[in-house]
Amino acid sequence: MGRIFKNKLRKAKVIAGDDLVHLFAPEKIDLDNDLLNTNILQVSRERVHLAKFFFIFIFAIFITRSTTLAIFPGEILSEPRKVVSKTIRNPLPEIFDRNDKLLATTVKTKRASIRNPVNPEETARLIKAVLPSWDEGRLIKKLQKKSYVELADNISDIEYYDILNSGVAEVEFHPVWRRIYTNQELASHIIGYSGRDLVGLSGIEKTITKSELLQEDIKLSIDITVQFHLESEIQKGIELYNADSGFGIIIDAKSGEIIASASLPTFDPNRISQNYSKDKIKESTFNQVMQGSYELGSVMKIMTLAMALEEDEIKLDDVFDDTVCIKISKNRCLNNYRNQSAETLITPVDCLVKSSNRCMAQIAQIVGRSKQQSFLQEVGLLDEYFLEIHETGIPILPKKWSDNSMITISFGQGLSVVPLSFASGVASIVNGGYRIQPTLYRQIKNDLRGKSIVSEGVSEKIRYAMRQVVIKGSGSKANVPGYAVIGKTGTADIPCNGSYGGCGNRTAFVGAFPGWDPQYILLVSFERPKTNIKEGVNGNSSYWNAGPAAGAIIKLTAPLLSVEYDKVREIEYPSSTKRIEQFSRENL
Amino acid sequence: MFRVFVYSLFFTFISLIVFNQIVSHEIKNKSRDLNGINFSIRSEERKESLLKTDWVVRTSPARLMELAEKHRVLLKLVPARGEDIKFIKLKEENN
Repeated sequence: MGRIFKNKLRKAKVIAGDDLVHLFAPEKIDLDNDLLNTNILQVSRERVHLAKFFFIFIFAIFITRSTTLAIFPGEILSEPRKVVSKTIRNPLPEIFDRNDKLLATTVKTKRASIRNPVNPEETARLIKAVLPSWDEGRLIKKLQKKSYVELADNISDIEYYDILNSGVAEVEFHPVWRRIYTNQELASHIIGYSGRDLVGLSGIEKTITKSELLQEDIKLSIDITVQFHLESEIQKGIELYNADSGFGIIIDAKSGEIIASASLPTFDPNRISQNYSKDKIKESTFNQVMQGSYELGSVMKIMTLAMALEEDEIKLDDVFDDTVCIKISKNRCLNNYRNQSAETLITPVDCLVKSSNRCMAQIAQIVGRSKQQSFLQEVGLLDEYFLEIHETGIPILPKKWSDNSMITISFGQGLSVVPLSFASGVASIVNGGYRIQPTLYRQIKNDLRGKSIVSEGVSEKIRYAMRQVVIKGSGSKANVPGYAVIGKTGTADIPCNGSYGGCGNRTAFVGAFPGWDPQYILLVSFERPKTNIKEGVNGNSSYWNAGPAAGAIIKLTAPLLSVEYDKVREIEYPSSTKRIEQFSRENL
Repeated sequence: MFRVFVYSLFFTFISLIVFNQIVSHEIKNKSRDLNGINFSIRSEERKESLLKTDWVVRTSPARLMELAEKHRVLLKLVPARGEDIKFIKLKEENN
C-alpha cells in the first residue's frame, strides 16, 4: 500500500525522458499512471478556476451584504436608542402620594472640581469671584495640599457658566444625581432622606436602598394635603400650648392605609445632610409615631372596655361603685385622675365618659390578667412592630404582668405602646371588629379585613360609649357637627426617676369619624403641654389641648377625605340592650 | 468570453463599492443628526423633569395655603366644609 502511494507520488512529477520509455516498452504502460500524468495540467487549471469562483462568491456575499446594509441601515442604527434610554433612567425611583402628587424625585446636576492647578493662589482668587461661599485662604491651602479638590456639588446652570467663564483651565465637571424632596418638611419622617451618593438613610428611602426597589415608582398611602393640615395644626398646637413635641396620625379604618403621620419637630430632608449637626439629625429624624413608645393614659380604657364586653363579663347596664377602695399597695387606695369626685353607682359607659380609674380597675379584675394580656396581644399592641420602613419601635411591657400591673394597664399606665399600633388597634375595634395591618403603600383593594377581634355588636357598643365621651365628657372640644365624632381623651403623667408626677404629662386624643361607620382614625398627642390663660387654655389636661387640636384637624381634613356628612345623624344606644338601659337610668 | 465576464464583474463590484461609499457617507451624516436629536431629547427630558419638579414645588400645599391666605379677602375663600362636599355629591348624583 505504501509502495503504491510512493510510486504515485514519484509519477506525479514530470520526469525527463519518461515518455520515451513508452516508445521502447509499450507493455509497461500503466493506464492509471498514464491518466495521472496527462491530467496534471488540467487538474491545476481546474483548481485555479475553483479558487477564482470561490473568491468571486465570497466577494459577492460581502458586496451584497454591505449594499443591503447601505440601503436598509435600520438594523444597526436602531441599537443606540436603547443605550440612550438606559442613561436617562433615574437611579432611584420617584415617590408619589396617593393622588399621584410627586413627593421625591431625582434630577441631574453637575459637580465642579479642580485637578492639579498650576498656580493655586491665582486659581483660588478666580474661583472665589464666582463661588463666594469659599474662603480664599482655606481654598489655597486645599489646592496646595491635594491634587483633587471638590469645589461645589449640585451647581445650577448659571453657576456652571460662571465657572466656565472664570478663566480657570483645570476645572472639571461631572454629572451627578441629586435627590429632591418637593414638599420639604412635609412627611419627611415617612419619606426619609438620602445621603450624597443616593443611599437612603431613613424612612422609605432606606427601604428602597435595602430592598433594591430601583425600578418601579413608589406610590405611598399618604395624602399630602391632609398631611399638611395635620402637621400645621399640630405645630399650631405646640405653639399655643407651649408643648415640647407632638405627633398625630390618621389611618384608614378599613384598609389600614396611613393617610397622614406627623411627628414634630421635623426636619427638611433637602438640607439635612449639609446643615444639621449630628445630634440634631438624631433628634429631629426620630419618628415618634412609629419609633416611639409611650404610656398614652386613659385612651387605653377603650381596650379594657372592649375586652370586657367581648369576653361577655360585663354588660352595658351593669353598675360599678366608683368609691370602692382598690388597694395598690399596703395602705394606699387607687385614686381617680386628679382625685375627681366619685359617684357611688355608674354604668360602664359612664366609666368611660368620666374616665374613672377605679371603675376600669374593677372591670380588669373581673376579666383577669391572662385574658387582658392575650386581648392586647390580639389587638396588636404588644407586637414588635413591622411596617414597610425599617425604623419601628417596640412596646415596653411591665417586667412581670402582676395583678398591680393589670390594674394600672387597664387605665393606661405601666405599658408603653407604639402610637401607630395603638391607632390601628382602636381602628380594629371600632371598624366592626376585624384587625387591620397598617401600611404605607397605597392599596388597590379597599377592604382588607383581617382576623376578627371583637364582634360587630361590641364594636357598636364601643362606638356608642366613645360618642358619649365626645358629647358630654372630656372630648367635647373635639366635636365637629355633621360627623358624629367618637373618641377618648387621655392624660398620662410622664414617669421620671421611677415615679409619676412632677415631670409634666402627655395628653392624647384618639378618635374616629364619621361615628356611625368610622372611616378614619385620628390620634393626636402632645408632650408636656402647659396652660395658656391668655389664649383661653385654662388647663393642661387633654380636654384643653389634644381634644381641640383633634377637632380642628377633623374639621379641616374630613371634607378633603370626602367623608360622609350628616348633620342630624346620631349614634343610638345599641338596640339589643335599650330596654334595660332605661331601667338602669332610673336606678341611678 | 471568460475574460469579458471577469471584467464586467470587476466593473460591477467597483461601482457597487463606490455606491456603498456614497451611501455610508450619507449614513454617517444622518447618524450624526440622530445623535444630535437624541442629545436634545435627553436635555429636553432633563428640562421637563426640572419643570415638573418646579411645578410640584409651586403647587405644594404649604405654598397654596400661603397664597390662599393672601388672597382670602379678595377671592372670598373659605376652608372646605362638610356641607359643601355633600352639596357637590348631591349635584353629581342628580346629573
